[in-house]
Amino acid sequence: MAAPIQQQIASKQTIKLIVLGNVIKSISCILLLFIAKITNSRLSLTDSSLQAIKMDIFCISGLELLTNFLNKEKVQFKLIDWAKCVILMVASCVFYYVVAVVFGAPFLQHTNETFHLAILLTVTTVLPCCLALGTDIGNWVQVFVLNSYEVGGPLICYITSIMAVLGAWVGAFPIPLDWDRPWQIWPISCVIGNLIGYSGGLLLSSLYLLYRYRLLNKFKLT
Amino acid sequence: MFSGKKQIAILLWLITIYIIGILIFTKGFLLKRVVVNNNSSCDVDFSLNTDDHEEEGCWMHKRFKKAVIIINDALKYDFLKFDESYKLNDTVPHFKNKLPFIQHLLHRSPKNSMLSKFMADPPTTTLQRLKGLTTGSLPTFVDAGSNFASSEIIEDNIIDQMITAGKKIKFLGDDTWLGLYPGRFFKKFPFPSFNVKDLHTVDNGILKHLLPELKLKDWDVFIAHFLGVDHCGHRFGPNHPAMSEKLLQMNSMIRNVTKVLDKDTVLFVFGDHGMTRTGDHGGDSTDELEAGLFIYSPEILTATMPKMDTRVLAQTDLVPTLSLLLGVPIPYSNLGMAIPELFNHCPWSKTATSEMRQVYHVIKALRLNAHQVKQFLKSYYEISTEFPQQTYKELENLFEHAESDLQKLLTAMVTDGETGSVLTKMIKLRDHYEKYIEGSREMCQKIWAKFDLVSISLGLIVMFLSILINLYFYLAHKNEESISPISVSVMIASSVIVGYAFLQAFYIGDFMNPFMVYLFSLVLIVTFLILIKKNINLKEKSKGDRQATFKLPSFDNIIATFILFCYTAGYFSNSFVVFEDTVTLFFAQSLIWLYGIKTYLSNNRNTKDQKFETTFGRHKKQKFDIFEKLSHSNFIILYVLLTCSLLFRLLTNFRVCREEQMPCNETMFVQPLTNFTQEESGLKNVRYFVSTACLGMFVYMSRVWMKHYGNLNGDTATVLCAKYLLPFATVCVGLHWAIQALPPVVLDSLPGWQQVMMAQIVYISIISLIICILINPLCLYVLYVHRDNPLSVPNMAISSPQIIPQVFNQLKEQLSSNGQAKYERPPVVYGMGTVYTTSVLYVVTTIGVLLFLLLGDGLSPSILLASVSVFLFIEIYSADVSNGAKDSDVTTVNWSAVVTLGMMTSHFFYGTGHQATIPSLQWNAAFTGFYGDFNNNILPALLMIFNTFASNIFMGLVCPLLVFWPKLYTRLNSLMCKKTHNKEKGKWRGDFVFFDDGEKLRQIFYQLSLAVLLFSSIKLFGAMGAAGLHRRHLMVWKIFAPRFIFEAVGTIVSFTVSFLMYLFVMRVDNSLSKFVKQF
Repeated sequence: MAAPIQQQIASKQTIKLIVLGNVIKSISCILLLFIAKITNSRLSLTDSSLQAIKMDIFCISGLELLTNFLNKEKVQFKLIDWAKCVILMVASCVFYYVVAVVFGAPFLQHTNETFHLAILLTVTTVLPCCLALGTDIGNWVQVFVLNSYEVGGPLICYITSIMAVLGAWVGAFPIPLDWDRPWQIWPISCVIGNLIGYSGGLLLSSLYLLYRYRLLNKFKLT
Repeated sequence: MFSGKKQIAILLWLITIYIIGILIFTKGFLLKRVVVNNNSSCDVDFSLNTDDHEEEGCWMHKRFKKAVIIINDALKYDFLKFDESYKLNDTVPHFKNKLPFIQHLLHRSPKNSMLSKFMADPPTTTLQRLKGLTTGSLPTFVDAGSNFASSEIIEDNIIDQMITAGKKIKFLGDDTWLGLYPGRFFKKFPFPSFNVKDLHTVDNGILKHLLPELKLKDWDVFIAHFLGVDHCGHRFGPNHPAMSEKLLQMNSMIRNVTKVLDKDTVLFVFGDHGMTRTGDHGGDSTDELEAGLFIYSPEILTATMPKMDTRVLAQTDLVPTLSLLLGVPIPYSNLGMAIPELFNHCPWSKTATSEMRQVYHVIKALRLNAHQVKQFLKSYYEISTEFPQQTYKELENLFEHAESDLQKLLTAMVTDGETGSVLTKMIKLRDHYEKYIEGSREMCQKIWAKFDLVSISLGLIVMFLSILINLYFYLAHKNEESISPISVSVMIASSVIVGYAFLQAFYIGDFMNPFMVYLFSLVLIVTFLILIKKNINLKEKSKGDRQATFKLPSFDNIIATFILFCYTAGYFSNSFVVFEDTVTLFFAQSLIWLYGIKTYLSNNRNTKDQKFETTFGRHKKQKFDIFEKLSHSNFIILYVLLTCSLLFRLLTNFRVCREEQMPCNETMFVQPLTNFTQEESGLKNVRYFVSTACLGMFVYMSRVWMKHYGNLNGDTATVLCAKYLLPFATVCVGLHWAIQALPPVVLDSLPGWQQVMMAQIVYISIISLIICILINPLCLYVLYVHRDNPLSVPNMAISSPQIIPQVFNQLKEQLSSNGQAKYERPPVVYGMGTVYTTSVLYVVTTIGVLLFLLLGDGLSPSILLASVSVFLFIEIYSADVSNGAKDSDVTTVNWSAVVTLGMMTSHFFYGTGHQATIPSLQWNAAFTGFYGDFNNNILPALLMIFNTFASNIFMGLVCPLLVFWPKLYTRLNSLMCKKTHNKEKGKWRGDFVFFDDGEKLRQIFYQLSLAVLLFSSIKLFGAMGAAGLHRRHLMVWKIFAPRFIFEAVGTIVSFTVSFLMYLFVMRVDNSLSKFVKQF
């Protein structure tokens, strides 16, 4: 294990809380995909995509904020940090929008849909990272560039955000196919890919977190 | 040691086996149908000759003595059909309702004329259509390739049948006919057909002779082939005033011809194919297939007024109809059906008005036709085993059934007389015959896309083997053990296999058992195992030797390979091929961003040791300066990345639509400027000036770059050419566009040489530029510093931003002779630091100007966008490389960079207004700078290749920059890197570092060529595999086969260009060492 020795280890309770939160988040994410079938409403992605994406955005950001609120060992936020966070997220929305257009999303049509996707991507990537890492760029560089992350929240947000982006990327693959399915319309498949990637990332990172935690504890005992 | 000659030999050998693989596959995939060399003759057992009319005839009594056939190239059904929905004041499209005389005839004498759709069989090129129209047979896809070398038709055809019957044929018009039927016409007036810009020569030539020759009455069959409508479509598109002018001319021609027709003459007016909305043809879209047919005779043609508006006739139907009407045998291999409506009237029979008589007449004609088809099918069945047994038997039964029904009916008629039930039976019988002929046609259509499975598999195996060998050399090279006994034996063994495969496919042919294919695959697997084992051995060895240098494939290489495989797998799905422009955009952008992220990571990991907190402002008391942060190297990378991908995204505006991509907005950029109407002149001017500005920018940027690095000093021929001839050629390109943008009337009034002069000057300039750079590939300037004049020029030069001099201190000591040096100080050489790069850039710019010319003014911005985004990508790449390597290191080429560049150029293909379909070829390029009239077809083919595969050529040219650029440490590069380089320390040596180790340079380029070969051939393998696998797919001739053909030609172009660039860099290296030895 190449982890630095002075690495901080979160307490057992925090780890448990994080894993529990992740499982809840990922299950609710999967539920969100099937919500129309469950509740028999017209809130499915294929019928009213914008409403559904909006709902997804609210649910995920709410869950993220809630779990962060319950976490005792969270990064301390001041008011200015919140402001910075909001600025960062707005910037990232614009960034994701530009990236989506550059990758081939229509420029003049479907702007609303593309923007919704950008917001969803922000919520599944930048928001968790903001909450886990704070607004200090140094932390971000530590995690995303140098790959030395604390076993705990940062590890989760690292894996989850990469998986979420990858999921959205893979989600674009079936768009040109001529299957004529309703979910092939831009950006629904990307939204689905993103949500699956996000929830998969949450589960995967939880497992990895438990594994790392056990290893570290063993190391501690010996 | 691994000398250059061996590398050249290996590269050539690899290219050869690749091409052999492509040839074998092509042979199996694009198979010609078997030609049955039998001719129909007059005495056949099935012709009844029961009619006792006075008129003679061979199989059937002839209705007409003479025929006038007027072929109007690309005469669409829409042009012929009079659309009455337009009101008097409506603006009618220029091609609509311009043949009112046809409508007049249809109204005046409905029994003497008929109009119908006349569906062509793809490919809709004139030569193929003429073959189909005269033999009555169906063409195969491969025939399209022989359009440039038209050959005589030996298959049985109506022309020969008419001549045998003693008819005299007079011919006027398109000289393609003379290539097909040399020596058949007793009087001929041919006119050249290749110059599509020329709307009038052929038509006016025909019109001059048409009426006098018609009135001479010394002919039995009169053929006139007009080209004006087709050329007008190619040049202006259907909806252009010139088209309405042309069609009105045709209208008056038809009126004049009908006036001089005799009673015993029938007139056919038809188009051999239609045209697309842009006026082109060659493919298989409905617009191209829908030609029109108009038949007229002063005699009554048909008894019942046919409802031809809804009927659709096939072009093969012409041959049997014409044969039976004129009383000649139907050509042996005809598959068409005589038009029943034309045979229901018998002018000699007294009971011509009785319906039963009419139906009986039709049955007689159809029966003869069915007999002929049956005979053909039977003899085809004997020589080839392709017919599906079941269908063939079913058709046979149908025919027997109909024959026996006919006998029964005849006896019933004799015994019972003509009752009502007989009529219904007769109509049923007629339907039977029709069904039989149609069924035979359909069956043949299906099987004539016949594939030689052995050759297909052999081709695929050879291709796969070549890829493995290529991979082996690529990997083996990395481990620096290039030529070993094993690799020699691999080469020999695979040569033997490939040679045998070649012989098998082209000479031994059908004798091979398909079992041999499996044997081949076994050999292949063995080779594969050897390769794997060999590589593992090598890896282990190098692991043992130098553990530090051994690395697993890096992260980006894995992703690049994954994306390449995704892209290749996409060839197997028709939707991915249809939307390939979007797919390539997506993948290319992914790879560009991957490189951006990689550069970003390497940039920051590099400074792991330094405390990056200082740069990131952890000291919160420090003043927050947004500009400082935004100009941080990480942000610069982001800007460059965003600009690069935004420019790349803009290329999508230049895409054209393929037929399957609906809905889709057609780009305005591929439309020639001359097509703009008077009202759009503002737009026309804007587009012209934007295009010219882009062209100017392209040349100006490269010039500024060369000047900046001091490569444009001195007075050698190369430098002078780059300084003056290149801008001159650029100006000429701009002027050429201006001339081409003139209104058509003005343009046509200019003499031919004035129209093409500018483009020819460009060709001459470019050829002389290339010759210059080949003779003296160095753009250097030596400034000797005199002993008694110590004016410290070097210092001046260093301080000046214009000139980067290279001091030859050590080199001089090493290399100069022991004799007295003339000058004490070392000479200053301008441009030494960019000596390789400049030569490559010189070639890129020169060929770039040629591509600008051939792609035309509309696509000029797209070339600029593509080159700027490629340039930015190379900057990102070099930032990454210079982050990772030490300054003195000579780095090898990254596989992922080659894949990225390849993917970018794959999208660039679509960005230059192309699609992988035959209708989207830009035929205008073949006439850039030439007035038509080519003696051979090499030159237009070459121009078409330069136009269509501009992207592949561009990629091949740009690739060497991947090697040299990182060593330049350009300003942008230093902005993107935190790390400071030697440039700031005054030790910058540029790409001259490569000169230190010529062997290494050769190896790098050898490897680069191998990587390019590998990339292109993996793509091609995907296209081949998809075409082979989906050979029975519904869309194979629309999607997979064109994709394969485009990919194959593009790959061969890439091979050639990258090999030539390898030779060119070697040439630069050689002359550089000669240059250095002077000192």
